[in-house]
Amino acid sequence: MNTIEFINEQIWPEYLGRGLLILALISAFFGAYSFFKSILRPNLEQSWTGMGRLAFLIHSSSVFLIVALLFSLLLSRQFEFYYVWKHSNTALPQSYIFAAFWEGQEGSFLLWAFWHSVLGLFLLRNFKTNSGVLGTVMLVQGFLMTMLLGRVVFIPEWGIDFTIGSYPFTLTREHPSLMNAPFTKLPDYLLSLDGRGLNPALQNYWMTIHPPTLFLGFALTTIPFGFVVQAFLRRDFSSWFKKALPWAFLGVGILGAGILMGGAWAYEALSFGGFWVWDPVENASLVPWLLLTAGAHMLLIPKKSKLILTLAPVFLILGFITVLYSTFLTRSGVLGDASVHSFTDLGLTGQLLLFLFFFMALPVYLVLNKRFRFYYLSAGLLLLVFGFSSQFSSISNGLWTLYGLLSFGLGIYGLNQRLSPSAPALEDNIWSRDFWMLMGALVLTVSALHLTVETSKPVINKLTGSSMAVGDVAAYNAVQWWFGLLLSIGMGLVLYLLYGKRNSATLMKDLGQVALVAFAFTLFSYSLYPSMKVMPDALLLLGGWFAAASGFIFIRRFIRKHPLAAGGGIAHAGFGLLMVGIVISMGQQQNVSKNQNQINLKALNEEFSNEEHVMLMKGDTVAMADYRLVFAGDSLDGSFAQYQIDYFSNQEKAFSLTPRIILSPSMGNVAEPATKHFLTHDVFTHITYVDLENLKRKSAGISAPEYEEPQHFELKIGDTVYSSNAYIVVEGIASEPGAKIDQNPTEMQLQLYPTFTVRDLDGNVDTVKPSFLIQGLSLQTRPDTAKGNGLVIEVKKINPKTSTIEVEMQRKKYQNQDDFIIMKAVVFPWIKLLWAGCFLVVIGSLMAVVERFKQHGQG
Amino acid sequence: MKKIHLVLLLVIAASVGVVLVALGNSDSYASFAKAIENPTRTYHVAGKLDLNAPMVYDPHTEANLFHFTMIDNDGKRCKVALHKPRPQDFERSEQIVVIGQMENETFQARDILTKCPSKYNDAPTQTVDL
Repeated sequence: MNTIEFINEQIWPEYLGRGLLILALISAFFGAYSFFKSILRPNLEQSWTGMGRLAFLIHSSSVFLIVALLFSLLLSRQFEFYYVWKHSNTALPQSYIFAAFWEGQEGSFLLWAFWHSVLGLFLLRNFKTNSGVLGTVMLVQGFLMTMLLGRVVFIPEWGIDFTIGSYPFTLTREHPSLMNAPFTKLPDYLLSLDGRGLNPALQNYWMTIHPPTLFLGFALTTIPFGFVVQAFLRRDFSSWFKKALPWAFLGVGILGAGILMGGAWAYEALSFGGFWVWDPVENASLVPWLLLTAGAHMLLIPKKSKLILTLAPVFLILGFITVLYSTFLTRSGVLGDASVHSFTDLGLTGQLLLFLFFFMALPVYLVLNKRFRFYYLSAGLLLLVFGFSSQFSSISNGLWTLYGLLSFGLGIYGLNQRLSPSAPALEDNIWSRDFWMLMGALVLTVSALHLTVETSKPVINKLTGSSMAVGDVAAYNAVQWWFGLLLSIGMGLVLYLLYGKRNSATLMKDLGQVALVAFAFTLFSYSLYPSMKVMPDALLLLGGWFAAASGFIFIRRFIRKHPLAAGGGIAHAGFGLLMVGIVISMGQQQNVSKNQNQINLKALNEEFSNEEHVMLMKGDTVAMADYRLVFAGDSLDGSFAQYQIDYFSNQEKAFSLTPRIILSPSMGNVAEPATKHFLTHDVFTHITYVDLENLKRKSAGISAPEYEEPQHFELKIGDTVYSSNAYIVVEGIASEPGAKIDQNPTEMQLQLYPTFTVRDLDGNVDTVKPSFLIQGLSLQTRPDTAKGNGLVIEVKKINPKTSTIEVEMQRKKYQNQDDFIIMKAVVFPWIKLLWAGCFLVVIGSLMAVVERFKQHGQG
Repeated sequence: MKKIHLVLLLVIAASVGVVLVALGNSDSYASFAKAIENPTRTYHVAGKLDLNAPMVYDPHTEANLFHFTMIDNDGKRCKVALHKPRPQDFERSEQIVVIGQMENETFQARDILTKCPSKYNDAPTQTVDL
């Protein structure tokens, strides 16, 4: 078989990795079993929790070792490993090794598993009280480990042939996509092998900090879910609220920070032209946050009515389930065309679905009574077998969907049956904090529902055969602004209400004060931007200022007495500022205006007119807001094409921006915007299109070609084509008198003048008559030039059979014609408010966590 | 519990409304043939770039207009007028989706999505240069 001795190859990590992975997998499932068993068998609790604890320690150590192993392979660039080869190369600076680590799916699964292990260590300190939570974490870890297994299951008799997971320590020469490459047979392949490298678009610090924060946020949704599972197992439906609360708010803070970093990355380094474009991948992390936030607030309500006891676990379960659903959406390839940055299919679709359905069914199973449990489980297993054996046919997909929806109803029904009938009734007073918190949570849920349906359209298409396209930014905004408004008002109100009743006279006084401040700020900001629309912009602005004013006044009152209790006020004020920031920075943004020299194209449909992008020749000036922009020059610096834009304000140069294009022959070129930050506004500049060849030529000292690329057309008389800035009409073919059409073809002479009218967009009209001369058996063609436009037309061939002519057109370039850029520049006013708002939401949530941990001791 | 019931009813109504809005106001993926049938409707058409047909981009005249020809997934060829600058590395794009409507035998595209073979993760790599 394989007897080649490969030079320098170290393959022991493949075996070590395999061993650690199997150890981690077995210990995860065993740990989960032990912890759950300890709850179900209280008489043996001591020994089962001990076992679970041991299993957890073995598991987390294995996970840490796997992570360390992959890091060390990446750090030493051991390209004999496919993952290292694919995500790094020799030229990659060591500081981007983190980015390379989690660029691929395997690495990001590992990152997720790493955070679960870390969080678990904190829970392990009270492993007896947290046994159910730890069991749940271990169970999730078990599923995550299977994603990394890379085991082929092949039973031809049963028609079974699939791979479980994708192994991160596969050898390069054994990877299916490279196995047949000739170099894998060379004994010294490693001496010359360099990695494919990290996509240059991902070589920035955002890629280093955004994924770990986001995955820590994802891992934190598992903990409240674990508390719910534990509560269901122990049949104790209310005492877990207090313990789960700080974890839930920690998740709100960290996941919020992760999402915020994603938005900041999109704004600073990607060409989205904004901080949020409702991309499916963005929504996929926002939806769990909305649900987790709803659930976390339910935990705050002290009076545990039946409704709250039902809604809190439902929201927290959904928060975790939607993380799994997001994982499925972004990693199964189902999003396809809908998102630019989803991962592609690694063939894990079935496994990801199983992951999702298992954890959806688990809590439902736990709340059902014995008889229902049996039917529910059998139905699930039958569907599973049917789904796999029918290769996910449309019937099985439909049944799975039905099962999922039914689970939701059954779960709520089952839970309600379990709840003690003595649970207090909900305070039916609309001037209570309970009521408005509930309202807020429900608004968050409906918002999450809208995002989920919109983002799931590719999935719905797969299930029903429809062909719906995911909505654009306007479609999302049109619905979501309502939720923003409702939430702002609710968030402003709720701070001044108490759990239970409050004296309405003092309440009205407080709220009146807040409303007055909010109105004043709204009027002031409205007066700065009088062109603002009342609906929805000004209304949302009022809502935002109301929440902000309410939060800040609340903080001012409480910060001295309870510095940490102000967390809620800070978060709510932050949300208000976020709304204000969105309305002003997005609604009142100013684009660079069109160069005066350019011609207004009348031939275009007005509806489509798009003036966002302008062309600038070197030295050209255009206006934007209070600035005048000059394209100062371009340069090539290694793999960066840089374009300097000078900004002038009051005749003086204020600053320069250098947006660039990162050149990567193997991964595609990526434009990177440049932004100048001021307190009151940001100036964003982005290159949309340039002639990169021109810059490369110039740097190499080669002069530009004299003519534009020739274009070829096959035309009939009367045809019109558009080429090089002109409309060209084939008028006819004139023949010169005195044509000799002889019987003897060698004696024939025929002089033709195909005639064209060239009407260019500068208003020049020229008649062009290229010559077409048949002399005996030879053909002479001579081009003719349009005087005004400079277009050169030559007729290459006349086909009498099809009565068409074959025409070549090219235009002489004018001086420095290729020294241009197409750019987009935007002034975003008061975008700092938006970031400040996001920041306060995160800080406020984290303050709430610290406060709760202080109150209740460790979770 | 009366008020709460009213609220829950409202929430259910809002949920249904939101789902209906999301599903009802949806643009669809379609072929050029379908776009020709309904010239006033906006469609998303997926397909490939026709590399043999001329691509005309003359930013000196109009930076926000780019003409090219596309072959949709049914194999039908159609001229496209994109009302945006020409995407960088356009000729390398493997799959494109244009969003817009048909007008005078030309598809007037408001927006475009392009997928380059290896712009993002995990494009299958067949050969390696050594």
